[in-house]
Amino acid sequence: MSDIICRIRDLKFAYEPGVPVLSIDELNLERGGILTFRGHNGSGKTTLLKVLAGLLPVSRGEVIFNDGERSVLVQQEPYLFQGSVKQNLLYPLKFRGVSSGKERSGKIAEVLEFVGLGGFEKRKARHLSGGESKRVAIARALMAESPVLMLDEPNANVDRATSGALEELFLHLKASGITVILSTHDDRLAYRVSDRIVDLEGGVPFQHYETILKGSYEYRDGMYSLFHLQGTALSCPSRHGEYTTAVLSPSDVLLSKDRVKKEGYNQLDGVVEAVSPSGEDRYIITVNCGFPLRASVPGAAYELLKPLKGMKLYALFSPSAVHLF
Amino acid sequence: MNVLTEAFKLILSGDPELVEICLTSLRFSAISIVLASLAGIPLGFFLKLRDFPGRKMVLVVINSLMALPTVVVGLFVYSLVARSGPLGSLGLLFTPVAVIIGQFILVLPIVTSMVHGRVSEMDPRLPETLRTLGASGPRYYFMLVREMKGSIASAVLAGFGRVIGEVGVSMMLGGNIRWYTRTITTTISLETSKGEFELGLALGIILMMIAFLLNFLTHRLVRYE
Repeated sequence: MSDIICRIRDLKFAYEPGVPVLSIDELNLERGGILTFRGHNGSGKTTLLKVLAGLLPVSRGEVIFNDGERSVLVQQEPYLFQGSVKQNLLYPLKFRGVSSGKERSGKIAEVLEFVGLGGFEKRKARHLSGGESKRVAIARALMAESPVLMLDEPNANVDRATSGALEELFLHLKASGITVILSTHDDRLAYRVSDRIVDLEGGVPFQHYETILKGSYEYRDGMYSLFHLQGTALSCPSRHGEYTTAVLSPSDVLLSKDRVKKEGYNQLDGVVEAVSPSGEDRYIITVNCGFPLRASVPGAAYELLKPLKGMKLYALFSPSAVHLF
Repeated sequence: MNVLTEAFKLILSGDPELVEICLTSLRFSAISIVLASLAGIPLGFFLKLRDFPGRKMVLVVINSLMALPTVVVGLFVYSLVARSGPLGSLGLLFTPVAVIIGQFILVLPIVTSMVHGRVSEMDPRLPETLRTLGASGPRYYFMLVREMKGSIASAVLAGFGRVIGEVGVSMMLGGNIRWYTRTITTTISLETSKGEFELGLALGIILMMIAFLLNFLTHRLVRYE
């Protein structure tokens, strides 16, 4: 899993001189899983994906893909070729000079089934709805048999149902061994599907220290409900809906050497796994409570706790600090 | 009004000379537009997709040549193929070849410039999609043309409209020779000067019908893009 498919070093990109759009000192992309570049419009997400896809020349620095690794980019509003869905899906094979044969039709049917468009072969590509077009574009990208699939803002301009279907599709892609790289400004999508999130702001990636937990939500009548994790359950706000992911901001997590009596709060015990400075006189302390939980503590608290690796600490956070997605 | 009735009668009678004149016009125009497309479509793409020193100048020249007067082209080619000209020994003057050369020169800038314009308006996602899916070399260009076939065809049809309706080149280089280089436009010109309007009017009506047809086809092609 940790094998690196692409290394970015000292990357600078600008459309016009003097207006940098991307500035990345170091970023490694790993094989497998779903990586999401999250950021607002104009944060450089699309540009970064285009650079990774080799569609834009790098003005400075390096983007090195492992030998033989290819990536295919599915654009925000995909361009579908004239003709039928089947013709669209055949082009990537033609471009690679793959010989024609019966397997082609089998493969097309299989890929269409995979993206949830079984039986769409003969439909006119340009007459499909937005969500269907996106899925055809994903199917077409899959026909290129690239180990890396990149999707730019996949759930922009699609309804909630399609968004949910796309989400399932991404997890499905991941399960089939494809490395998926997404760009989005949608927190919900980012948290629910990603194995790793890289935030981009002004073309600069930065590390977020949020704790992202996968589990199941149990709605309870009242102020608080439960979010079940393996071996434990967190108290969280009661909200109707289907949630798969709980997110904790590091600054919402308090650490203490002793158990604290605080009614209704989530309190977990764990051992310190890692300590690292995060600038501005703050430290990120990772406590293993069955899962790695990150807390951001100010310098003064750090002095009091004197956390060392292996030390036992209690993590405390309010139910309302548990954000559900 | 009598003349108009006569003209329609002539069209409906299927007069062999009238048919021959129409076919000659269509033949000349079709050959010259095919040749001009073979050169102009790649040239239009090249001028947009490849940067080289002096490209802007070439574009300015080609755009100016769109307005080339037919008689100037006629005069230019005439001076080349006339007995005393550098190509005089080939004996091309007043032959279909001379007309086609003239029409080719006339319409090449139109096709090139219009294709260049259409390529400039190309959806930027098209080349990106082709590249990310692994298209390269001739396949890449083939796909660009294929995806833009409607707008390229409309450029070609515009050129066809120009050559089928021109009279200067056909008259000066073809010489309006009966059963040989006589075209719709040269006939109209001749018949009118003789004061015989029926045949001229009949041919005029046919020419208008061709123009309508071309416009109709262009609209359909662009709509289905």
